[in-house]
Amino acid sequence: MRRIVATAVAVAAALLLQLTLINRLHLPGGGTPDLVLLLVAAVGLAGGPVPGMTTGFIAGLSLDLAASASQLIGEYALVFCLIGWACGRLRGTVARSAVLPIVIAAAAAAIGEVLVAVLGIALDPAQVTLAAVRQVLPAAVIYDMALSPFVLYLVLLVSASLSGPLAGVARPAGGGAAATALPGSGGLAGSSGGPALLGRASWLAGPPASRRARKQAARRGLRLGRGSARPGDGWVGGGPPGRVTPGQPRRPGNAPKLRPGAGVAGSAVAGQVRRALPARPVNLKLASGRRRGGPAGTGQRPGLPGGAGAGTYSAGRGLGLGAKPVDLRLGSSRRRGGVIGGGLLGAGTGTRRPAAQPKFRAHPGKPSRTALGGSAAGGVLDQQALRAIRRRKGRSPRLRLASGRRGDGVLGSPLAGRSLTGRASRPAPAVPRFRSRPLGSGQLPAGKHPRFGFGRLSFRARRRGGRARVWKIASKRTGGLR
Amino acid sequence: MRDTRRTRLFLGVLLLAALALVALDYQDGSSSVFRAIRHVSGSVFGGAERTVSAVTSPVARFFGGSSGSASSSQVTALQQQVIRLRAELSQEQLSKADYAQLQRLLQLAGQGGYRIVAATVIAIGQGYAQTITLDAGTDDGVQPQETVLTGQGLVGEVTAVTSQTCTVTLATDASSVVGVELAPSGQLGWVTGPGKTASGTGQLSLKVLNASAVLKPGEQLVTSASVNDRPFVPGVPVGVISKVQNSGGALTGQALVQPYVDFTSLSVVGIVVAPPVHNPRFSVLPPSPRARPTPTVTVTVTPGATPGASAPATPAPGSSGGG
Repeated sequence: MRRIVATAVAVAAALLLQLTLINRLHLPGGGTPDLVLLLVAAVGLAGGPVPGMTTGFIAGLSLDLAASASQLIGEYALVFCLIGWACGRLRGTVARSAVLPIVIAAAAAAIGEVLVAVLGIALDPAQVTLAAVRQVLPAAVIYDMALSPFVLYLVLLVSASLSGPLAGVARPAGGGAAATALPGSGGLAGSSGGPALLGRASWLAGPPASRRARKQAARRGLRLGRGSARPGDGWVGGGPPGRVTPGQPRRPGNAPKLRPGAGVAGSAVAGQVRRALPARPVNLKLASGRRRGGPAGTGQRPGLPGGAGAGTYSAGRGLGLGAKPVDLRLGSSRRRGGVIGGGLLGAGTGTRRPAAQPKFRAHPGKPSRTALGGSAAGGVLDQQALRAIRRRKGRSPRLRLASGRRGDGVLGSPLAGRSLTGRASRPAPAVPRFRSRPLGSGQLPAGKHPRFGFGRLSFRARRRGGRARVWKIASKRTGGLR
Repeated sequence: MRDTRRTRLFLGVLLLAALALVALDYQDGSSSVFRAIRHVSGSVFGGAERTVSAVTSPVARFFGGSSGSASSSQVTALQQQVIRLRAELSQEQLSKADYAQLQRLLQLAGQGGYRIVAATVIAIGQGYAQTITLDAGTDDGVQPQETVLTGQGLVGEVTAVTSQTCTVTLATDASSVVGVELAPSGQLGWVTGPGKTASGTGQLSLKVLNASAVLKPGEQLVTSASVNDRPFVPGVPVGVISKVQNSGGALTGQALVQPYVDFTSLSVVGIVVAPPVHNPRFSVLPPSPRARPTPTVTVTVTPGATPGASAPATPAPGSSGGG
């Protein structure tokens, strides 16, 4: 609702500014920038196809009506609607690159100007002459291109501040890091140098822009302290401590910080390490650049009881709702996939449904893939399941059971008193580990499957020979997880 | 990102709606529904534009654009006066014979003259059309197809009116055609606008009906009379011929005309409101004689004074009021 209001206000402001000020300026070349067109393109890039085309239609129609008797009603509506839709379709580029959206916005403005001219010549040849178009169009396009980055930046900024950490709208992160966003859930923008915000959706949103957003993020998410700030440390599964699950009161006190080394140096452990952890540590590698990468845990539906919480991002839908499962790379360079975490199946409500037994599932038809999880505890591996894996022929998913490696983290959600039903008798656990380490060879072909990786080389980083310090959860083609 | 089915459907609906609007407006732009829509939207946007224009016009003026309502009230009043004088002057400039003819034909009177509504430019049109929006509408008596002028000369023609605003198609618009008359020779012709140009203000192109007419640079053009003064009242200066284009075998004489009005810096303009419809005969009446006060001087002669001193100061009663 706030977005709609903000968009309406922005459109009205741009329209009035265009008609009363910009058209009055007599810039060299005769043309004037079209602020409304730029706004429509930016809204499309920030919001997606539907907001883009709706904004375009309404803004165009308003322009048609406001400058009455200038042109036919619907001319600008038609062009702006198309531009908004096209920019919305290319919204994924906002997550991929910092420069590409600017190029797209400029190109959209140029195409929009050309379309307006062509439509004018076709529909109203008495008023729009070819000579006039030839004289004015180049200057107008150049002014549009010059103005488009600023409009785009403003729109993205406002969009990000409006949506907060939950809506996952990308905006340019500082320090040359490209903006990252995921449509629908949230962005992962762990800058590797500084503390990375992990948590429900603030993962991907980058450092929060406003103080309010920072506070909100602090309430919602876990914070990796400096001590554990290795590039690529992460948190998989489980719910953030701030999240009140039904039936369980929120823990008093501040949000837990991730402390370096709950036992092992480099471990990323939030809050108290509970006793009831899985018997064996699980070493999970989230490799990058693989074709079958996938997200860990769930997080798309905040309303789901239990588990659908922390720091993760939505495999849950695929897992719990019976759609296509998403593969998660377990181990490096193996074609194994699985979903870890989750907790879609009614955990946290106190009663466990029988269906929520954690289990490994082999995918029908694709024996090399394994789905893991769906459990209340957020992906705690069942011993039986492990055994089942081992028994299976072929290569097993590399779930390393070794302990004590640096950089491992907690897998699952030991926080907030989640009951690990049926595991009370297990011996005291070592800290499970979670490693997400950027691996080389990001040049593997991108398939249709989403990818969970680190280190797609941005073109800027490529020049320097470094890696983009941006988490990518995206497929190469779409830029988003769909 | 692939479109979902819903997105595609939505896009299709919106595009169809836009196309339908274009088609309907193209087919019948004067239908009552569209007129109502334009009227309402014009009122809404006009009010907003009027407000915003007060803020933005100083900015525009700073950047070399036209100044709007920000000029002081005195300047505005003076500009209005100049416009009014120009309108009156344009009448006077017509030849006596033409004037008498027009007076009879158009039932215009000398004394009433044109009624001028002064208005301020609040917005400039978008796109390739050369239009401006003024802050006077039907509430001020403005109707479509009325002449708009400034102190320099012709600006354009009112093409759309709402209650608070009106849209003026400038004489430089590519679709605008103005009937003109060459000032000394009386040749009839018309000028069309160049449309939007890179320099902002282009030259109008003149075509004269008489192919054998001799056009000379420096000749002045005024608007010729139209029926019921719509869209253009007669005698408004349009421009001066800057270059004669003689193409052999052309049916019409052609020339380029430099307009008097600087179309890039319009701020206060006048709309010539047509004579009132309810009493057209009033204006053809000759000027009514006015009763003038007669000064009366009473001289009292005192007996003791010399008669020679008081005699020159005593005019005959009634003789001074004759003039």
